Amino acid sequence: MTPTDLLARFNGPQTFGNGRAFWAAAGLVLGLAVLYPLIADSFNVANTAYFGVWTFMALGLSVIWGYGGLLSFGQTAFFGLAGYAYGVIAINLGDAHGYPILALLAALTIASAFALILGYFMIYGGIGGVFVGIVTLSVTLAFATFMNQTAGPQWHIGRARLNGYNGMTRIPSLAIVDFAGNKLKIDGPAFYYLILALMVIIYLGLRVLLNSRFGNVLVAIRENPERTELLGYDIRRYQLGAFVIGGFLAGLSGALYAAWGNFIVPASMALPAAAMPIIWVAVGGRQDLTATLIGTLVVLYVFQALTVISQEYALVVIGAVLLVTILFAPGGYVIGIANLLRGGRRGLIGMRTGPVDARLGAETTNE
Amino acid sequence: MQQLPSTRADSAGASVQIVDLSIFNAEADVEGLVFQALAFIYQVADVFAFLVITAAGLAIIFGMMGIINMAHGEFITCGAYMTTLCVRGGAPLPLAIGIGALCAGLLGVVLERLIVRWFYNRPIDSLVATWGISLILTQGALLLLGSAWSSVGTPLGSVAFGNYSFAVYRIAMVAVAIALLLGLYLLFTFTTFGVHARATMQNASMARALGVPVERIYCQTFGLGAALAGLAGGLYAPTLTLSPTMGTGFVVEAFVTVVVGGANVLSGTAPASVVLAAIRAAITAGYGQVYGLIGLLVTVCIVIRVLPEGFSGWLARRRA
Amino acid sequence: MSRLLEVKALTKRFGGVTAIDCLDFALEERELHCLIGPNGAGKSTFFKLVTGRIRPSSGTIVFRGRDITRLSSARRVQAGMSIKMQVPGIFPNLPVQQNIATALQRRLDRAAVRAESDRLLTFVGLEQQRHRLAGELAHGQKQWLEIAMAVGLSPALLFLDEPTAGLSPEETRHTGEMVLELNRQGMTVLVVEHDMAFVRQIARMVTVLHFGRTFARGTIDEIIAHEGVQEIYLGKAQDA
Repeated sequence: MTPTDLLARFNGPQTFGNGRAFWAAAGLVLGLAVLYPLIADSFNVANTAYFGVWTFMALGLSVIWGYGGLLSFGQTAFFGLAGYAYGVIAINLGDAHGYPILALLAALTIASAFALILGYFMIYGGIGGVFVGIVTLSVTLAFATFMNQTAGPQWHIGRARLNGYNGMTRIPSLAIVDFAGNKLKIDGPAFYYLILALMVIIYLGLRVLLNSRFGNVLVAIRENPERTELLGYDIRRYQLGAFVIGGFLAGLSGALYAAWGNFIVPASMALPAAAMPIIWVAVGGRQDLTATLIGTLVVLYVFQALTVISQEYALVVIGAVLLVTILFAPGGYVIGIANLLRGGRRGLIGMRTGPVDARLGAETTNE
Repeated sequence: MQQLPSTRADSAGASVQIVDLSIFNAEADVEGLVFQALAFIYQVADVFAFLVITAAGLAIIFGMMGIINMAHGEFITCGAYMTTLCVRGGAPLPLAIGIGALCAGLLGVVLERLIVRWFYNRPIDSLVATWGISLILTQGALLLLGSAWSSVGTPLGSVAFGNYSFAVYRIAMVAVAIALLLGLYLLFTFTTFGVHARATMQNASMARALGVPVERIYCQTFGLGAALAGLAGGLYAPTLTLSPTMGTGFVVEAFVTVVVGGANVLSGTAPASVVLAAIRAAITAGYGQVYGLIGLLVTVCIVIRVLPEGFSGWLARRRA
Repeated sequence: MSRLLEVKALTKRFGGVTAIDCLDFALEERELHCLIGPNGAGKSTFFKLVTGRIRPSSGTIVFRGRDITRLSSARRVQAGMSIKMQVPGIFPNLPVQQNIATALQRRLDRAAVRAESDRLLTFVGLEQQRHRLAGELAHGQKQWLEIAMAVGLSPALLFLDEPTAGLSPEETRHTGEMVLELNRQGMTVLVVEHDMAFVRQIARMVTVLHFGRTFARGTIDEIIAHEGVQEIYLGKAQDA
């Protein structure tokens, strides 16, 4: 296969940036990212890895909402579930013999299974539109509320105490074994490279998936579910698939977060944390993977810079950014700016959001 | 004396505190049983009143414009703070509550004209937009007002039956809730605004074609919804510690009530409040506050699944 | 020629109203059949029942020998039906090319999708528009795009629900020619229509519905001459 054939799989109608210039630039960015730990200090490397950890959840929401059209507030629920699952399993098994990797895989499986169950309940139960947001928000809050009150020694799974409001601590980092059987902890630059590798794999993997037939049907469902059904597709299966992928990715973020910080708290599931993925994805541009990726990193960086002043201040600014975005650039800034640079007619508005669900009784306009 | 507490738990997401009724098991005689029954009825009525009062504003906005107002909690907070300010400034409580509601209503009108009105045919985006407003208001209030204010204290004292005492104020809330429902019924049935509003709810473009000032109706309705939220805040302010994030404590149950009830305040919010109050009281009595809240959240998921348009949608269908 | 679609004793009640009343209907292969009737006759309801949008109160629908009465719309489409709805059902924020491709990709691979979408777009006259967003097309073009998508499924039976709604007389005639050509190529087509000029242009067989029952059935000339039909329309048959 020539390089062009290989690239063809990654390109398609559902992603911006299909030309050689884009891929060249992407290669350059990747190269810089690989060299980064050699020039930056350990704090910045760890911090950048920290940002990277959140991108999976954002990409997952992009798949569910941007491509699939379902606004889910449930990403942080899967995040928390996987985080706690990783913590429980890793604490109980210890970090020898590469057990944390096992814990990671198990956490991902649990998060995905939960996404399957919740998704099935909603999607096959005919729940759509804003109600998906309400149900997922309810589930997330219920879970967070429950975890909040698990203080006290009777709340434990094996050796791992759930610890209520203060969260689970002393969670082992990821560790593998070398050929001699020695434990190799994955932190610092090693963790950074792990995150980078995962980002590359998942980004490319999603590009292939979303530009394939699956992706075509998914965006068709977003645009006009009835028409898609009348083309013979079982739309629930595709929506469920997107939801589970989103849940898996959120779980990946959660487990890696627990491994990175060695702790997990209920607050990472409750409000306002539950809103953050929505903010990242809305600001960057939820209908495109690259825009989501870039937007998430930018918002995280800006937010962190602002929390130096105070967290409330940072949240006010972020809230204002969200508002301005949804008013004037509902397709997201990254897409909007890219459009402007290309001289597109859409300007800052970016990609138009698709036709909305008719609310109870109201008529829709196809504008 | 068993004082049924009427304080609120804080922003861990809990809300109206219901006493733990495990003491039921101790009593054996008839008089004791009667008082227990009264206590349970009191609890259910208390939660019923709370749900009706806090959910009415949200229900009206949702029913009219299909918008889930994620900033609902902030209007409640606004009403609560304004009311407390006025009482501290010397105003009698009812007047203070009225001013609180008015301020919230004005805030609502302003936000509607500036922001909300661009989202009338974009329900999911409106969720995001009102969320942004909520974030700005809450965090801004935290920045400006700092942490908790103490409450102004519940007036009217309490009344005792056997081993239980009931706060008169909260019994008054039940009367207020019923009066509110009655008032809304009269408003929507007999006033021009009400008729126009119902027409717009049914078919906005048709109403517009018939000369109904639809944009003004939306604005007024949103203001009304915000004012009702402010009213809720003002009414419950004397019973709680105020904090800028207190809205979140109200919002979850209000949401649940609106979703279970459906878009119509009278045929939806009212029966939903009764049912949810009963569920809430029963679970809390057996398992405590937190599970009561979780039970509500689970209920909303189930109801959405089984009755997608809530009680009022289901009732409307039955009648058809 | 075998019976492609057979409807027996189909009944649909909405509360107190009987919209479809013990209706019998049959469609042969390769037919080009029009379903007409005055307002309220039950055309839309019949359409929704056959395409699976709503379930009947009683009766059966048999398609290609299979009882499809209980099947969902998606399943009926998989069984060989294709439906073009009254309001243009397209994907407004996707390019025209992708609209068609989504219809074709179920049965064709990438290369064949490209070729076939070219053919279909040329057939409906939209080959110049392939990169435009479907939402930007004119109303008539949207109708044709949807016809192309419906045809792209290579169905055994093509349903058209008022395909000329909102079209100018020119566009109506063009649509009629397209439908005739499709039938010439062997496709069975069932059209629900109001526009009598269009019906006269395309129809071989016509069924008239009235009060949820078959009122008359015959060739277009027989129907036009039928006094009862004239009566139920109160002489409102439109001339082009």
